[in-house]
Amino acid sequence: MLRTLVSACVFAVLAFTGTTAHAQTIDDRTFFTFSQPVTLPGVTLPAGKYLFRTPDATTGRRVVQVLSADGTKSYAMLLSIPAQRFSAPAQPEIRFMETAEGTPAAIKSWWYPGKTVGYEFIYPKEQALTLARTATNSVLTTASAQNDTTEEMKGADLTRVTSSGSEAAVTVEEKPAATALAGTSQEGELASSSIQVAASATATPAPVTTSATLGIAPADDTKQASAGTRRTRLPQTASSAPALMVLGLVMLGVGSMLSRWPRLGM
Amino acid sequence: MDKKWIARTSILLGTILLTWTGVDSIRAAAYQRQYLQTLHNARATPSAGHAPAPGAPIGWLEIPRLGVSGAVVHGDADHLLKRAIGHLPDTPLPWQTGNSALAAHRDSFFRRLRDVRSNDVVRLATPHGTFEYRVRETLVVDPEDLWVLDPTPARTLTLITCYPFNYIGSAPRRFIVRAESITSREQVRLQS
Repeated sequence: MLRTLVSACVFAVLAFTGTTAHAQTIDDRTFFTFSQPVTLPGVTLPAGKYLFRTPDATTGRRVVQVLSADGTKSYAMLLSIPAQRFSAPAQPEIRFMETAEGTPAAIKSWWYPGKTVGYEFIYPKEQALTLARTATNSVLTTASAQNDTTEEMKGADLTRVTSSGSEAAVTVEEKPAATALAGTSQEGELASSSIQVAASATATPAPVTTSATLGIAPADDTKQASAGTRRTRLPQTASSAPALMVLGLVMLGVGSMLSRWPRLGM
Repeated sequence: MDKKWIARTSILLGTILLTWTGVDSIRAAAYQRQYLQTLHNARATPSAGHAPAPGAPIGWLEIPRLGVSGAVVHGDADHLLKRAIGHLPDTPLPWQTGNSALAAHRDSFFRRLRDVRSNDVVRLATPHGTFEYRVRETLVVDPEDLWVLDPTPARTLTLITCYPFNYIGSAPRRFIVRAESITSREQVRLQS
């Protein structure tokens, strides 16, 4: 009886941990669905579902990749630094910073469930200064305005800029001191490890063939799968004015001909 | 007698239709003048960054080589496209990073897009600054090809209108113009 009970307990623990291990992925991949455009360092994403992951979870400034929901297209490779909170979230979580009313919400940090250390995004200087004007809290950015590419940011000095324009230097630590969270949050869902993600290390989409051109050499830009926006079609931009004008002219013509018919003796 | 009745009715209906389309054109021109004045006032006193209301003018678009020009309003509803170039609200605003999309009627504001060429300069003046783009490619796509609205890492402008240009009625396809933001270095060369 005791043996049976112990076996049952061991089985239950293994099943539980097995399930948990299956849900977690090595690259912390997570889905987030946004109902409105959101701002990230260097890019504004339209409403839709996106996949966040860490392609290379090394120490230091960790890279976060943002892809389409099916993982085929990479939209951004973002630099982040570790940030710590007092309690780990139960679900994947995005934290937004305060922005001007009506402007797209800007994402400040990303947290994986069960971990108190998350990812705080580094914004390019110009973008950070714009966001900081209306943000309640400071915005993480590079000390110099010249360090705006991902490669330049990797080794750049960091600072936090406030709404008043003042800056405070930042020291990157693997386990920084925990801070209280500010801003609104949004939960996501864990993504399966079975999703094949784009290997691209840059935010520039790979060129593919387009449906047709008008004899003008296509640029590097792309045909990509829709990011899952609510819109189902491109807007209809043909007005009825030309058809009505033609119809009006035809009717005038017909009317004129008929009114002259008796005189023409036709 | 019957012929006279038909003739008069045809003439009357034809006159009504032509007047209706003429009035629409006049109203669109009046809206354009009104929007231009609103934009001048907005540039003099730029807002604190609040999102524009639907139908509010957000900029003035020009393609100098083609003679294309017109006010851009926020939104792409039918009644807005009758009087201005519309900004698709689910894409970033022109002064934000990303792929900003504008749509307009092929028989009015975007009629001359048929003659656009690669490297044509597109200029968009907004309360947040004037942005210049260079045409990189044109495409003919289906209405369901929403990938043309996908985000881009750089500031991009996507212009949308119906295709073919000579089609009478609801055109089956869409003509897309993709333009990329000109770097500051190129801007200096353009101005010199």
